[in-house]
Amino acid sequence: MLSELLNLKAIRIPLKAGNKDEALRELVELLETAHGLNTDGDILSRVVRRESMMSTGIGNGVAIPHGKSRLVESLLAACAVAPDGLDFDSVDGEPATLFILLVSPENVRGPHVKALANISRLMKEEAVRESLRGAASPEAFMQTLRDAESRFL
Amino acid sequence: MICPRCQTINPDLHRYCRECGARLAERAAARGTLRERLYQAIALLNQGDLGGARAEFLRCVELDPSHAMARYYLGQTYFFEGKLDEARASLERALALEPSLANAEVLLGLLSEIEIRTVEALVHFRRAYHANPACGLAQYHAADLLRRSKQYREATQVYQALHQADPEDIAPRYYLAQVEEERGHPGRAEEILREITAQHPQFPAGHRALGDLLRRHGDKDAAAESYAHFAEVAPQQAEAHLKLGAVLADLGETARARQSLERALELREDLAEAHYELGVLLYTEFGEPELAVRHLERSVELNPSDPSARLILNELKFLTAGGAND
Repeated sequence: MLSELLNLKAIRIPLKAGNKDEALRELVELLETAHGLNTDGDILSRVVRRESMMSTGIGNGVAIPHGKSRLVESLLAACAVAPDGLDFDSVDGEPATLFILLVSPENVRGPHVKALANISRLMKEEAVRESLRGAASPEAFMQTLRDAESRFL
Repeated sequence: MICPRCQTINPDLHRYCRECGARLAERAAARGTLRERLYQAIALLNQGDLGGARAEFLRCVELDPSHAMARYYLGQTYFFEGKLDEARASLERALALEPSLANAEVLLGLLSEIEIRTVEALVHFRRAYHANPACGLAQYHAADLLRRSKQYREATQVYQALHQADPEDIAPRYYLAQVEEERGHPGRAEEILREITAQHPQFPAGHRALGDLLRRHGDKDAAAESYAHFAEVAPQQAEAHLKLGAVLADLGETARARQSLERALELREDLAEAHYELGVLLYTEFGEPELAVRHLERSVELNPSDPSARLILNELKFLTAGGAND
């Protein structure tokens, strides 16, 4: 469950970044700070490399950047909302407003894909996306996420 | 009236043909001709030949402008053709001629619904019901519209009336369960669906709806049980096996999940969602990346707009290409 990979410090509303590169940097910094990590750029470079292959802007205003790192021991996540939207090279060309960064240990493959699939399944629900976008605080975001997970996962 | 000698169409009031001067048949005889044309036009409509049916209905209306049924069927044909203005005009004319045509009111209600004129649509459905209290269609449309307009109390009343009128009919209670869930009473919805499935264990939609409700509200074990009943009573429905497989995968019953998903695809190879679920399962639980990629590729091929399948497919390709180890 995504909510189990987060803590309140790993949720930022609103995201400050003004473009895609800044957004990736801000999300990785948020994740590292919230989870007490310093990977000296390892996570960022992995996430950027994955992103360069194909955008993780999956459409409907959602982006799920992700990557793997030798320096993390469990699946971790960070989330943010950018109410005004950012160009994220999304498949539908629409700006991304909801960001979920997922980072996994390097040797973890099944759970990593399963976590991505679960996040993606949640984000298919328009009501969930709207509720998360409307969350005014990390606490509200987390509560909305937990409610959605109990309903859709 | 059609001239029996030269086949010219003459206005109804003419006694003699305007072309050849032959004496025209009496109106009653002309009606026989019209009836035959009407039957032929209805047959064309039933065959889906809308253009042919329209031409015939127009001819009927020409033969007898006061024929309400011809006008009603012409309106229905226009409706199916998407010519909504013409449909409305024809149906209104039919009702002006014969106010008890409940089906014309139903179609006008549907037209109003399409034009997002909810109140007007409800008025037509109610008129249809008053014109013919046996017209269940009007009540179902009215209740459905009320439900979608979130007028749950009113929708409930209509479904309850339908249930009282025919207690053996499953449909009103089935829809009532939907209303109960939407108005925030999932427990009541579950109760109704459990009654339905107990009384009609061979009704697949009941098991499916109960499974969906339970899954939406987090009770996956009970959902799996309902989907298993669904698959049991409708073994040829791929959807039943897909739903069962997906919930079993969530429950970690991977072998049974795989079996159900593969069965779904045996029945319907073009089920994108089944390919997606099976692809994820094969990768995450069975360590079969090549087969997983093939299923996800097929899922994307079948439903290119599904962001999940594309995201997971790209990730699997990235991982299987050794992307994580660089």
